[in-house]
Amino acid sequence: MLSTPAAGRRLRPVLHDLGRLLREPWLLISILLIFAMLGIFIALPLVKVVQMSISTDGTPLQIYTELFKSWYMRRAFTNSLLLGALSALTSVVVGFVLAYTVTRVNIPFKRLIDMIAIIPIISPPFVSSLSILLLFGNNGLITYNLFGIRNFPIYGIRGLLLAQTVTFFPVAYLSLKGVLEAINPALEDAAFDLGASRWAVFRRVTLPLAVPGIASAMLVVFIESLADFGNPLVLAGSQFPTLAVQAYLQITGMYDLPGGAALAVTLLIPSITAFVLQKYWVSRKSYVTVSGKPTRSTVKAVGPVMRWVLFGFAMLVCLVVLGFYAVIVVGAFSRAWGFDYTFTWRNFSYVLDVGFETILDTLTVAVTSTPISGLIGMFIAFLVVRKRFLGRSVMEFTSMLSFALPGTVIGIGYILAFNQRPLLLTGTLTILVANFVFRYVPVGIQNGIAALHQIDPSIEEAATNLGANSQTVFRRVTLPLISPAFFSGLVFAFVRAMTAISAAIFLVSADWNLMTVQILNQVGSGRLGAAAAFSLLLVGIIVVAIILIRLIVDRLFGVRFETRF
Amino acid sequence: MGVILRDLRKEFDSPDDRQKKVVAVDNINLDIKEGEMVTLLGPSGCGKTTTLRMIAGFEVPTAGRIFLGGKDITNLTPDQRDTAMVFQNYAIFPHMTVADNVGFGLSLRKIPKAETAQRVDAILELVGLAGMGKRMPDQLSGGQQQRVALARAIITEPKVLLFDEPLSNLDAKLREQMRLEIRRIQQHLGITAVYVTHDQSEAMAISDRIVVMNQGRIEQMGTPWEIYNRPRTSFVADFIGQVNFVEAEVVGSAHQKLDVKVWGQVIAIKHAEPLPVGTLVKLVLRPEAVHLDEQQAFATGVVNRAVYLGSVVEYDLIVEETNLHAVVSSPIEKGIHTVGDQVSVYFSPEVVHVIPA
Repeated sequence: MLSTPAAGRRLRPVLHDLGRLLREPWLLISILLIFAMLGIFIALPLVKVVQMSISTDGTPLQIYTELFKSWYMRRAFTNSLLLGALSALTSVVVGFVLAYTVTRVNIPFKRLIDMIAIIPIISPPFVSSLSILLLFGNNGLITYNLFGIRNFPIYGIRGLLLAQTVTFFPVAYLSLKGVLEAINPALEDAAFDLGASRWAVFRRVTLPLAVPGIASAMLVVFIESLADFGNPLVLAGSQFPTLAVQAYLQITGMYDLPGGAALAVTLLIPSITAFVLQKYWVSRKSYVTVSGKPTRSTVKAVGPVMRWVLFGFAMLVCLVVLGFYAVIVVGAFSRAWGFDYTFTWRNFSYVLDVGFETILDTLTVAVTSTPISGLIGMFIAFLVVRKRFLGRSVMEFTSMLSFALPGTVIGIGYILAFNQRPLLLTGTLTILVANFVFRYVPVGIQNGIAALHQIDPSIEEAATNLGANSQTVFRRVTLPLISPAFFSGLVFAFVRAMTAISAAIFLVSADWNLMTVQILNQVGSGRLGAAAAFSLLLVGIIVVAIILIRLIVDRLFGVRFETRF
Repeated sequence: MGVILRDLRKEFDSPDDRQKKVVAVDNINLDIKEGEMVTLLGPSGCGKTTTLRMIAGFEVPTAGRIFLGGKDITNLTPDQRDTAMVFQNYAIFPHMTVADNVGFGLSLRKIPKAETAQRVDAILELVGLAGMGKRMPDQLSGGQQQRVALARAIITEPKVLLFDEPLSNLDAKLREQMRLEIRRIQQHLGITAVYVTHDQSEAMAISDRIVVMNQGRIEQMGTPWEIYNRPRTSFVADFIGQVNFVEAEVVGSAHQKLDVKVWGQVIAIKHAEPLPVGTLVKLVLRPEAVHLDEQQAFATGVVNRAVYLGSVVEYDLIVEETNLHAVVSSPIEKGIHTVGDQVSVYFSPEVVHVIPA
């Protein structure tokens, strides 16, 4: 038998790993525990959705064929892809131009641009839709008050593309800024020195080096756009069905769980494809070069005219974002949008009246899920980077996967997986917390992995060498070193827990409701002023919370960290 | 073509206080002749790299002018100047093959593809990378990347070649090999070159002329021989190689010679300008110029430390209550002293050099 020695060779390292694990029982137990949790809260719901969409008496794919006989559902599929692709394009173009301007051009107000880019990230994703309604809707400030137009065609792809671009360009901006900053400035200097004009430097060096980052940002925005639920629900109208919204309506409106599940699975396929492309293909192609001496040229990368053009563009973007949010503020304090702009507290008193319980619920869910998510994230990062064990890459993939799963899929999966004993969780706090913990754990893992790669293993080896065991090394050396990444991951998880909607909308109940869901209800029933007030309140809570977290962390742990999104 | 720097000055904003300025380069004047290889040598922060980057056009001088072949190029951008730089970290484009990297400058000049390919092959041959054009940069060793950077810089036949510590990322052996290679290619092409380094032996090995810089100023310029043997200041003497500063007093001065009293002896030493009697001076005495156990002796010393390095022995001697560093070659012939030995100390008056105390 020729294969036996080869198999033996392959088996030996596995046995070796196992042997080492057995000597550290606490490690083995925690690894098993994490696998169990990933299995229950990520894999099981996913399996349930797929199962629901194919398990009928007829042929396996009967539900799909029935569903997509309807042109309306076929349209939902193409619409989602079209919107995703267009949003990816516009967001990345805006984000790239802005990132290039900030990293390469000497213009004032760079910090302002950074701050502006943060605003859409810390607000619920459908706030820009609300602004668009307030600006261009039936009683819109621009359409009705300025031009007297009553039914300007803002519903559908036009409004949605605008809303998603405002919502998602910051994601592209922040990641591309990192990409452009990481390009060794000597490369551009070298091209310039060899006689390349400014345009040639950009076209032949800067842009090609940024292409992997651009592709990655496009795929990320594509995934986010596909998963976006709030904006389409508000702005799509009946002429522009999208998969996420149709899946929700199929379940809540038609009580058709298999149909909803099938739509969710349809949504899942392009998302996972984009995710795998992003993670395993594009990220491998990156040319990130780290230079020892970051001497950025004082010679400008663009000429004076281009500088003004780029500056103008950056200011225009800032103005649009600020405009969108100014409208929300005005709306929150106006008596009746479109007719009576006199100042009032009425919207706020109404919101506090009907929504006070919900505010407490939302805070409870966010405050509970955030630290759990952060700790699990750091621990998985530690295991994945520093430990060798069977199934390590499975653990990494599964835990990162939930980033690619549209919230709609997870939401449906959770109601299917946790509606009977022993996992009867529907309607409870636990189901909401579990959802948020495992949805936003990938960010903690990513931050943790990046931070761990920065730490030379010899630092940890030094501690072991001095007599510290595995636990002590993690607690006394590794954890303090990665704590900035941990806390910035915490802020992100908190913001997401406060603003998420697509999965949560399936999981809220009379006992446990969330602010985002209620805001969407207010929009749905046409109370735009109340929705604006509620949104403002939400953003206010988030800002206060971020400041508090930073103060507490600085005071208690002496850790200053950068808030990254 | 020659390069002329006139009153060149560069100020940066202070990182601590935006109102304050840091002077990186302080009114430098330098004439570099055609075909000459000049090294800017100095400790980190002395302004050598800033000077180089101003010649390349990456930094705009605060004041002063730069001329290339008699033409004022101070206000030209890097792409408009006929200079080419070899960067410290090579700055090879990671998304292009070796051939595309080397041919980059030619493609910008709209040279036909066939000719570009021909010239790229020829240059790769010259730098010893024949046949490696299709490789990607990450498939090359550090030394090979260095050669690509050099090839990319010289292919456009620039008027001036600029080197920014190009060998600092290589190991010692490769460094010695590459600096000979760079010198060979520079002389082969007859191109004017400016080379920045903080490594004095590299500067000695490669240059026609060395410019020693300190705190933004030129401390001294001259041939490697002049810089080593006739340093004008203690900074230069100390920066180039190991050195002893022996305190002495002028006791007489005539015929371009000084009589100085050192270790109780009066010695006549060559010195161009007369100095008043009673002036305190320093004698620059290289360790390898200190002779032990000769027929003649200026003083007696006690061995305080002896380090055997194979080809040489390094001694720390106590002579007249001060420390004297000596390097004695060929120990197999001369034997090795041990700590506590008494030795006679001598140096030839011809080799020492007087600098102000």
